[in-house]
Amino acid sequence: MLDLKSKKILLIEDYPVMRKAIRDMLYSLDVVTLIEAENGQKAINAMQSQKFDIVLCDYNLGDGKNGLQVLEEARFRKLLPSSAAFIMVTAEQVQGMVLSAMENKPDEYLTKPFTVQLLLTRLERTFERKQFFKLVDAAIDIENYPLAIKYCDKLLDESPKKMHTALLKKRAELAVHTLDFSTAQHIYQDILEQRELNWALLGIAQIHYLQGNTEEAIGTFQEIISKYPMTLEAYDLLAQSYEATEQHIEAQEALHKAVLLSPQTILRQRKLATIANKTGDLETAENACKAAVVLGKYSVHKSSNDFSNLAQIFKKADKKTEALEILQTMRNEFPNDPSAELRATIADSEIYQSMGEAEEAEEAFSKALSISKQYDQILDKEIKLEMSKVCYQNDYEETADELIKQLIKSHIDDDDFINEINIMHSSIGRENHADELINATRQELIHVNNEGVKLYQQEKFIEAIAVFAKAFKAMPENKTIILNMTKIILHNIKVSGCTKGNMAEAKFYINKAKKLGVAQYKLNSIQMEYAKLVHSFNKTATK
Amino acid sequence: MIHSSVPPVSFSAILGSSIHDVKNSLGVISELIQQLKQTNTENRHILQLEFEASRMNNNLIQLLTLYKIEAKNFTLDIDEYSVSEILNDVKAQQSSLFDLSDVALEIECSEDLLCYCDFNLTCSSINSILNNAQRYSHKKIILSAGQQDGYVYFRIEDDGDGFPESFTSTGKVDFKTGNTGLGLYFVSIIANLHSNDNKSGYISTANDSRLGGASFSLFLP
Repeated sequence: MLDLKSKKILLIEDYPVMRKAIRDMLYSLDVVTLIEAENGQKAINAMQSQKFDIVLCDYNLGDGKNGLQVLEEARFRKLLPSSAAFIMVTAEQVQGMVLSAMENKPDEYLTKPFTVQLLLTRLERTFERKQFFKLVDAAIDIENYPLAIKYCDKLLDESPKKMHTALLKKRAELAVHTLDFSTAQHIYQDILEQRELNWALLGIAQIHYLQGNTEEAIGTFQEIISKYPMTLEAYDLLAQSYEATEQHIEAQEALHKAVLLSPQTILRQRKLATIANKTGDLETAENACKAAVVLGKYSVHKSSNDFSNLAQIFKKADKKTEALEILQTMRNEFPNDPSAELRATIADSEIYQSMGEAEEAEEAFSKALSISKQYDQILDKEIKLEMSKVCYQNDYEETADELIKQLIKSHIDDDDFINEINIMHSSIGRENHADELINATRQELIHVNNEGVKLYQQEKFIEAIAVFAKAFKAMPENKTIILNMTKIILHNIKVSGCTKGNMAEAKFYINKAKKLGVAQYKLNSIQMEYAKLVHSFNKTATK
Repeated sequence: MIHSSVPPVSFSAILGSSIHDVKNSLGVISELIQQLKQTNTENRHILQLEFEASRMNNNLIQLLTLYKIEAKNFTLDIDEYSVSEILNDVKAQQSSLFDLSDVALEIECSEDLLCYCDFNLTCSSINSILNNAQRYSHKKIILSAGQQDGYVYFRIEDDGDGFPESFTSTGKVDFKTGNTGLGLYFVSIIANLHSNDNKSGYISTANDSRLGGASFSLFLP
C-alpha cells in the first residue's frame, strides 16, 4: 500500500463542508501533513512557500482562480515538481481533453462524490506511474533530453507490458522534441498499426508540420477532427498549419470551432483575436479579445497586450469611446508596468489622432516619448518597435532611427522579428528603409563570427573569446554570438582546465542563451558538455 | 416588432440543462450527507442515503453522457489500459456499497491483460451493471475479464434468481420492466461506440452464471 505518512498534501476546496469531509478521508488514510486552501490564490501562495507531493484540487473554486487556472499557474511557474501528483476533483465526469490543453493535464480526474478507497486507488496508480518514469521525468525537468532518452530506452528494454505504450508515447515525444523525426514517426506508425489512437495520429500530423509538409499536416489534422471532433489540440495545430501557408481565414475558422467547443482557454482566445484582426473580421476579433481579457483576470497568462489589442480593434471598428475606456482599465490593472503604460499612451495618441483631436494626440505622444526614454532598459522589443513607428509618424526621425538601430543589432538573427521590422516600415510607406542597416549588421555579424572562428581554429582561444565578448557587448541579445562564444569557452576549459572563474563565465552565457529563448536542441550538446565539466571539476575540487 | 412564437428549443436541450440543474441540487444533498455522516457515524440510514444519492448521481451522469452523444458533442477518449487497473478502480468505487451489504465481490483477471477503451466510460459502465447485480444477488458476485475472438470481455456473474425469461430471450432492453433499463441501455450505447476495424463492442446477458444467477458481459473490440 502507498505510504501517505511521508507525503505532503495540499487540499484546495472552497466549500467548508466538503473540505472537512475530504480532510477526514485523508486522515483515515494515515496522512500526517495536510495543508488546506479555500481559494486558488492561497493555494498558489502555499505552493510557492513549500513543495507538495500531492495536490487535491476542486475544479470549481467560486470567485477567483478555478482549478484549471491553479494547475496552469503551478505548471507555468514550475511550482510543482514532476514527481508530485495533481488530482482534479470535478462535479461531473469530464472529458479531460475538452477541459484543458495538452500541457496542463492533471494526473487524474476524480468525480464527486468519491469513496476513500477510490481516492487511494487513484493515488496508488499515479505514484506507481510516477515512480516508473522518475528518472526520465527528472531529466526532462532539467531539460537534459539526451539523458531522458537514454533512460527511456533503458526502460523500454525491461518495462512491464502495461507500461509499454505509455513509455513509447513519451519516447516519441522526446524524439519530436529533439527533432529526431524518423524515430518519432516509426513509433507512431507502429502504434497505429496496432490500433488507431488519437495521440499517435496527432503525432504523425505534427511531424508533417514540423518538417514543412504543411499540406499533409493539414490533411491529417482534418482527418483527426472529422473522426474525433473533440480533439481540441488538432484544431489549434490545424490553425497553426493554415497560418504557415498564409491561409488566415481557414485558420480563423479552425480556431473558432475550437473556441465554441471549449471557450475557457485564454491562449486560444488570444490567438483567435489576433487572426480575426488580421482577416478583418472585427466582430470575431472583438469577442475573442474580450474573452481573453475576462479569462486573464485570474490567469497566469494575464497580459496588458489583450487590453491594448482590444483598444486597437475598437479603434478599427470606429468605437473610439470604448477604445479609450479599455485603455484606462488597462492602466488600472497594470499600475507598475512601464511597457503597459507606454502601450496605452501610444494607443491614446493614435486614437486622438484619428478623432482629429490634435492637441490631445500630441500631448499623449510626448508623454510616450518620455516613458520610452526613461524605461529603455526594461521595455520589451515589440513595444519598442511600436514606439519607433509612432516616432516616424510624428516626424521624430532621429529617435525612431536610433530605436530601430538598437533593435536590429540586438535581434539580427531573429528572422521573425526582423521581418516584423520590415512589415512595420512597409506599413508606413518606408519600404526598404531598414534594409541597409539590416544588411550592414548582418555583414558585421558574419565578420565577427568569421574572425572568432578563425582564431578558434588557430587554437587562439583567449583571443577568440575576446572577439566574441566585444561583439556581445555591441549586440547583447544576439543568439549566434552567445552560442559560439559559449562553445569556445567550454572548449577552452576542456583544454586548459577548470577554474571557478571560467566555469561561472560558461554558466552565465548558457543561462543568457536560455533566457533569450535559444532553441533547446541547440543547447543540448552544450549543456551536456557543461555538465561533464562540472562533474570533473567537483572531482578535482574534492581530491 | 412583436414575435408571437416561442423560438424552437429541442426537448433534448431542455433535458440537458435540467439534468445539470438537478445535478447541482444533488451535489448540495451529497455534501449535506457528508456533514451528517460525521456526527452520526453508526447510522446505517445515512449510509443508505449516501448510496442512493450516489446512484442518482450516476444515473444523471449517464443521462448527460447520452445527451452529449446525441448532440455529437462527444468523442471517446480511447487509449490502452491495464484491465486489472480498470477492475481495481471499479472495486474501489463500489467499496461503500459492498460495505453496506453482505455480498462479497470477487475479482478474476490476469495482471497482463490490456484493453483499448475509454477508461472513465468503461468504469462507469461496469459500475452501473455491478450496482444492479448487487441488488439481486444473495451472497457473492464474480467480476472477471478475459480475451475472446479479438474482444476483451468484462463479465459480471451473480448468485441471484437470474434475468426474467422474457428478457434473455428477446435480448432487448425494455424500459418498462423497471430500474435496469437506463443502465443497460447506457452500457450498450457505450459498448457500441467502441469500435475497431469493422468490429463494434456489444453486451450480452444470459442466465449461465457460474454462481447460478444472471451473467452479464461487456465485449470491447
